[in-house]
Formats: sequence, structure tokens, C-alpha cells
Amino acid sequence: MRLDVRGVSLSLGERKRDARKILDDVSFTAPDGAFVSLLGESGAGKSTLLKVVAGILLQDEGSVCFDGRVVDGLPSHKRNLGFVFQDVRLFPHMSVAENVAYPLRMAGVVKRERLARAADLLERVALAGFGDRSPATLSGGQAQRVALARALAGKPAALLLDEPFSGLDESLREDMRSLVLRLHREEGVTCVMVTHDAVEALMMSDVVVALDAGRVVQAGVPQDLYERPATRKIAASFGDCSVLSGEVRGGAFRAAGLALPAPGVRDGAAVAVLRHCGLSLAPADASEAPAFAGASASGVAPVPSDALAIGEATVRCGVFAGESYLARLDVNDETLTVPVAALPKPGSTASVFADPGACFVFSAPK
Amino acid sequence: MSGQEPEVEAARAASAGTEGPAGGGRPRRCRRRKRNGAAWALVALQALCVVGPVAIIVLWAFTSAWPWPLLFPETFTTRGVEELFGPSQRLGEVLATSVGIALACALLTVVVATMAAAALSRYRFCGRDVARFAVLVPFLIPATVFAMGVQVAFLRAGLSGTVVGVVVCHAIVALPYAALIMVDAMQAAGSRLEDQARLCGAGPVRVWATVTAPTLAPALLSAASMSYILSFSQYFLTLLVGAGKVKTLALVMFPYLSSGDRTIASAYGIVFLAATLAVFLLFEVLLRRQVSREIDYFNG
Amino acid sequence: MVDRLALRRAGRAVAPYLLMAPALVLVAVFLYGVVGGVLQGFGIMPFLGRTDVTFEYWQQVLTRPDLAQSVSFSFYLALASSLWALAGGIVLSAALCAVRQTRLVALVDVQIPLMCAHILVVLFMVSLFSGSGLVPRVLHCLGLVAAPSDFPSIVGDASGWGVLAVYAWKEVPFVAFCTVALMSHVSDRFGEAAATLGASPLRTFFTVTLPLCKGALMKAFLVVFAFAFGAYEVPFLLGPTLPKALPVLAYIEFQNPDIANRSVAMALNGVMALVTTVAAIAYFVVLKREGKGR
Repeated sequence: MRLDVRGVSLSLGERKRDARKILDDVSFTAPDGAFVSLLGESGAGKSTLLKVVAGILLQDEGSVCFDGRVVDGLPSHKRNLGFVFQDVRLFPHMSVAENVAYPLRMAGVVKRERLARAADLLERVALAGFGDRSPATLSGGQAQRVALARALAGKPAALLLDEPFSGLDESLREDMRSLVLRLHREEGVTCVMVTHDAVEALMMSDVVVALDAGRVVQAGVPQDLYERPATRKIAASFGDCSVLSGEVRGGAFRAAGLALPAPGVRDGAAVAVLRHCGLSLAPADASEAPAFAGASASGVAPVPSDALAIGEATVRCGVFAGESYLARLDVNDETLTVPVAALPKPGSTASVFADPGACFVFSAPK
Repeated sequence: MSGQEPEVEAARAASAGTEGPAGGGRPRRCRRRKRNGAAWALVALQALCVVGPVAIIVLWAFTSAWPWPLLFPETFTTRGVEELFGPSQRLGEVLATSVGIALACALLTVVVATMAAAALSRYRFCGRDVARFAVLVPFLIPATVFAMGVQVAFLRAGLSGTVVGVVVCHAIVALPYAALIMVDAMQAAGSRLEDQARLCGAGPVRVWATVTAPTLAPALLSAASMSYILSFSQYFLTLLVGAGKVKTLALVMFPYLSSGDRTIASAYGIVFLAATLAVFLLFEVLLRRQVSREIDYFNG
Repeated sequence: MVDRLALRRAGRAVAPYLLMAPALVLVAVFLYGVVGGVLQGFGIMPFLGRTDVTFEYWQQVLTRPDLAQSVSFSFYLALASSLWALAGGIVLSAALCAVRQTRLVALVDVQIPLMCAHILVVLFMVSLFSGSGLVPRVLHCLGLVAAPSDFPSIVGDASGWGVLAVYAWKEVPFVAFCTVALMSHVSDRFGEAAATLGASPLRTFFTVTLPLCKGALMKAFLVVFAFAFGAYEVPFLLGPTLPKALPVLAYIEFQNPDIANRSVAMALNGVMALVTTVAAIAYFVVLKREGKGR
């Protein structure tokens, strides 16, 4: 099913006076069979948007279309959707199998058949034989898999997932992600997932829709968002990075001793996002090389050939970070962090090299 | 320091002893034992305060002579019981009326209170604070004022002296109790499971039947038994609205209290308590059957 | 199509009012009775063709010598029993929390008292404390009481101690019933936190548990107060001849065949409603404050 959200706006609040605009003219499309992520930090309105799609909340303006048909008039139980909440929401007074069979029961499927299909679904989420258990006896990951099976039981036109993995341990999340993707592939069902984890969105989705303060700020394939982020927040959401504030003059960003190319950014206050993976360091003065190299024989950390020297900064300290060391450099009052091969000497001056593809400059909001 | 320890141990042993068989089943941290001993003593005292009078009533119901200052009755009789079950008292009829009115009141009150609680806990609407307060008004103005005031109106509406009129009045008195119980329970439960059920394709009625009612069963039965008890023990309101035509147990029992025939009054008291207890236990059994699995509500 | 969205929106807007409607009808009947009664106190009895407002009955009521006594006696009964119920209820509730109540304990300690009608409790107390009751007999055996008449009579004593005893027996468990669930939740949740901060159990109770249960206790207190102020049967059975509790006084006037006495009764009811309305306003303030805290 192709899902269209067109110009949806919604304000919530006890009275008109203190109403807050949660969604502001949101539009996006989920093509049939696609996996779409709604990405944003908490409070961006992404869960609210999902509830509007599900019909739990009523939008003030705009409409939701399934396969081009406006469904605004349909209450949630007639929309034929599967929904997995972050807090699982299994019915405590039913067994696991009864939970999974619940949508089928509502659809009028006879008991024997629906229990057979529930058992089948449980097998597909690797919970065969759990049917007679009570939901209270399940672990977090098991409960979430039951919720997933239940959401798919009614052969939904679309599967909506509201932060389905954030309640789970990190070790379980990866398994759950691949399970969701496998089921998505097997069922061919359109999926819309809400997440605050940008990397998760990249890994799982065909399309990522980034929301900020109730507005869509960027929508596209994951590569688009990663390589050409539209906002500072999106740029900063993929892995470790440093954010520096400075000024743009004539197409170049400057902050203390650093300068970055900033083509197309208008003059004035600006911020730069520098992803750690694209940064490297070399001593400003060749005589200080041993201080950077430490015990390693090769000396200076390897500088990629396409890297650009962007200026010099003073090393404040170095920290051990497992597979490498991190150098903290003072840039005005802010910190630039650069991965290095060995502990740098505090107080020394270093040249910073950057991969232009890992640096993004945005005009700062006034 | 070490010199004190035996004393402490002795104190612990002593307090553990007072816990008796009821407290012995569960392992508890030693530090809490002493406090629990005092708590158990209070609980036991309260139990004595409750059971004691009930036992005396049972004794009195079969007593024919208990001269001062004996601590135990001298002669026993079945006069009270005989008179109670004799044809002149029409006990069966009175009991049926009482239980019927109380059950009808419980049903009406729980339905009305649950609907109100759903509105108050699930919706934000203009005038919600006023509505919340309005439901509790029967708490605050005495039922005696209401009873005397409404008598004429009910007389003219043809409700005076009818079972329907009595049920409605009892429901009014019971409404705030039931509403408080239901609002608390529904607020605590939230609409999480109901939203989920809707998304599984259940319409409003089936959401209620398959999810809301089973998960709220403890609160529903608590509200029902509260309403039942209030109706069953109502005297003044029944007297005025029932206009002497609707005879409930409380009404029939009253003259024996003021006249001082303690044997018959006690016999009535036993019937009263037994009837309430029976229905209460029935509710309890219903609850057990409904809630075969453990529900969060129980765990608190 | 936009209309269907508007329809759903309208449905959601109307739903709470429809759900409230039956309850509001019951409350309306209640208020109709109360207001109708109070109006009769002003001589307005449309069913008798009287529609003129008169303050005659109010004047009569407010100037009668026994009014002040009755009001203060009723107030005393209500305040004493609700304070006692509050204190006893807190203790009982704390004790029940500490022992992790079982079904049986809850049944005996709280639910059976809730089940007993007030008139049944009157019978209990009479069997225990009247001249021929068990307590004077026991005291006699201990040599403390010589004859039944030496023991202060439970019926008609000017202090109304019999009435208070009945209310204590009945309302202490009621207050416990209202608070025990909340209290055990609170003490589980915050009690250990406070204990790790070095507070003794008693201090924890007074500084953490009790303040957090204040709302529920306040509600229970006001319910007991309003009930004890306006209840008829217990003061009728056990109260003194003079002063009479307000509801007893009102009902005596009400029963008088003379229609003028009926208006006097209603004026007395008006006084009762006035006192409890003040309590109601206090209650509303509590509710409001609690709502803000959330």
C-alpha cells in the first residue's frame, strides 16, 4: 500500500490558549512496499505523526491517504494497520497465542484457524511453543517479538512501528532489526518506523523522513541524508562529530585558526559540523613529530590523500578511546575532537586535516 | 557492641513469635521484624474489635436469659430464629426485596459511574472540572437533606413507594463512591491497551468487552460491592422514598433496635451480615474467575 | 471527505458529554431534591399553590433557642468522629501496609466494617457498652463497676459517646479503605529511598508517606465529616434528648402533620446544607490544588 501524508497539521493543548503546534504542514510519501523511517529527536512530533496516520489522533488540517484514497473519515479500527508500540502493550489477561490471534478474532476468523495462524506467526518470530505462556512471563525482547507477530497477524496494509527497539538492550536490537527487515521483505508490507537513532534509520530504510519541531526538514534515500544533510541536526546525528561556531565570509567558514570551504553558504554567523571519521591531525612543526607519534615507528598519523589542511589548533588533552586516541583541541571556547593514533602532547599546536565530504557548514539561526 | 547483640536477638525472637502463623510464611528482613510486630498487634486489635461484637450478636440471638453480671448467658432459646423465620416476618420477601434493590442499585451505579469515569479520565472537555465536582456532590450534602426534599417530588412523580424510586435514590448516594473508584482505576490503567486493541481492528464495543472490562474487573467489582453495601444498609432514604411500602431488611430491623428486643434484633443482625457477606463473596468468586491470570492492577 | 473528518472530530467532542449524561441526570435529581427542599424552607411549595417567598420559617428557626445547641452538637459529633476516624484510619492503614495484608486480613479488618450498616453497629455497641452489655459485666468482675447504672449510659448520654463509638467503629476502616492502596504504593516507592537517605521508619512515614497521601486523607476526612454531620439514624438511636442532632430535629419537624412545621424542617435542612456546602467548597479547593500539583 502506498501511504501519502499531505499537509498534516496538529496542535495539542488543554485549551486554545496554551495549544502547541506539534505538527506543522507535514507531507511525505511511503511507496508501496517501502520501509520508511521518521527520524527526529524526542519532541519532534514523529510519534504524533504516526498516531495521526493510525487514526488515534485527529489532525487539524491535511489528510492521510492509503493508495490515493483519503482515510480521514475512518476510525483506527477500520484502517487495517499493524502497530507496534515502544511499550509493547500485550494484553495481560490473554495468553501469548490469544494476543497474536486478537486481530484475527476481531476480523471474525474462527478460533481453530486463528490459533493455527498465531502458532505459525510465533514460529516465524522464533517463539514456537510460547503460545500458552502469559505475557508477564516473557522477557523484553520476546514480548516485542510477540507484539510484532500480533501486528502482522491481521495481514495489515501497512506496519507502523513506534520506536520498537528503544526499550531493548543493545545486544537484542540488532537481532530485532534483522527480524523486522526479514518480515518486511517476506510480507512485502509497507513499513513506517519512528526512530531517534539516525544510524538505525540509515541501515533499515528505503526512505528517511527527518522531522524537526513538527516540520519535515529533509526526506530522501539514506545516502542523501548522510552525504547532503539539510540541517545541522541531521548532519550531527550520524556518529561522533564536533560542532564549531564561527563565521562565513566569501564562501569560507572561519573559527579561530581554522578555515573550511563553505560554498553557497551566505555570509554571517555559521556552525560547522565535522564528523570525526573524516578528520586527522599532523604536527604543525616537524620537530614535534615524535610527540604525536609516541612509540609508533611510522611517526605521524596517516593523512588521507584527499584531505584538506584546514588550519591549526592547540591540543588541550588526549584521551584513550579504545581502538584509537582522541585529541581534544581548543577552538575558541569549543572543542574539536580528532581521532589520532597516539596520545598527543598537551599544549602543542597541530595541523588539522579534514575530508571535505565529512564537513558541513550551515548558517546559524539568529 | 557485641554485648548488646544477644538482647537484640532475643527481642527479634520475641517479636517473631508475636507474628504468629499468619506472618510466618514469608521470609522477611530481620530489621523490619520489630516494626511488623507492632503492626501485627494493631491489625489483630482491629480484627478483635470487628469480630468481638459480631460474636456477641451471634450469642445474643440465641439467648433467652443473661442476668447481670454473668459473663456468659444462662439459658438459650431459638425464639429469635423462630420468630425471624416465622410467617409473620416475611423474611424471604424482605430479603428478596433488599437484595434485589441492592443488586439493581449496584448495576445502575457501576454503569453510570464507569461511563462518567471514562469521560473524566479519557477526554479533555470544557467543563470537566465542574463535571468531576458534580459527581462528588452527593458526598457533601447529607442524604437526609436530599431525602426530605425529594419526597414530595417523588410522590408527585409516582416514584414514591416504588422499588424504582428507591433504587434511583440509592444509586445517587452510591454514585460518588463508585465514581471515585472507577476514575482512579481508569486513570491508572490509561488508554494504552484500548488504543492497541483499536489498532488490532476492534470497534468501541468490542474494545470494551475484550480489553477494558477484563482489565478493570477488580475495580468494577470493588465499585459494585461498595454500591451494593451502601444500598443494602441504607435506612433513612429508604424510609422516606419507600414510604413504608418498600420494606428492606434495614427498615424491618430498625424497630427492634429502638424497642430493645435484643434477641430478635440480633437475629436480624446476623441475617443482615450473612446476606451482605454472601453477595460480597459471590463478587469475589466472580472476580477470581474473570481474572484467572494476574493483572498489573493487583500488583499495584 | 473533509466532512467525515469533521464528523469524527464532532463525535469525539460530544462523546464525553454523552458519557457524563447519566451521572449528571442522577446528580440533577439529587440537586432537585436538595434545592426543592431548601425552597420549601422559604415557603415555596408549588404543589400546594404557595409561591411567595417568606423568611418567616428561617426567622423562626434561627431564633429558636435549641438551634445553636443542635448545630454545635452536630458539629461536635461530626468533627470529633471525623478527626478520630482520620487518626485511627492512618494508624490502621499504616499497620496494614506494614504487614502486607492478605485477603483475610483485609476482609476482617476493613471490609466487614464497611459491610455493616450503621444501625447494625448501633446494635454492636449497645451489646458491648449498655448497662447490661459485656463491658460493664467485665468491669464488674474486675470490681470496678458495682451496678449496671454505674456505667455511663451509651444511650442518651449528653456527651454522645455512643454515637462517637459507632462512627469510630465504622469510619476508621473506611478511612483506611480510602488510603491503604495509595499508602502501600507510596511507602514501597519512596520509603526505601528515604531510608537510604538515613531517615528512620517513623520519620520516613511522617515526612514522605503521609504528605503524599494527604489528598486521599483529606477527601476521606471530608466525606466522613459531611456524613456524620447529616446522618439521622445513629443520633436518633443513641443521642441525648437534648440537645438533639440537627437531622433528628429536622425529621421531628418534618413528621409533624402541620405544613408550617414542614417548612421549619426544610429551613433546618437549609442550615445543614449550608454547613456542608462550606465543607464542599473546602473540598473543591483541595481538588483544585491537587490538580495543579499533577
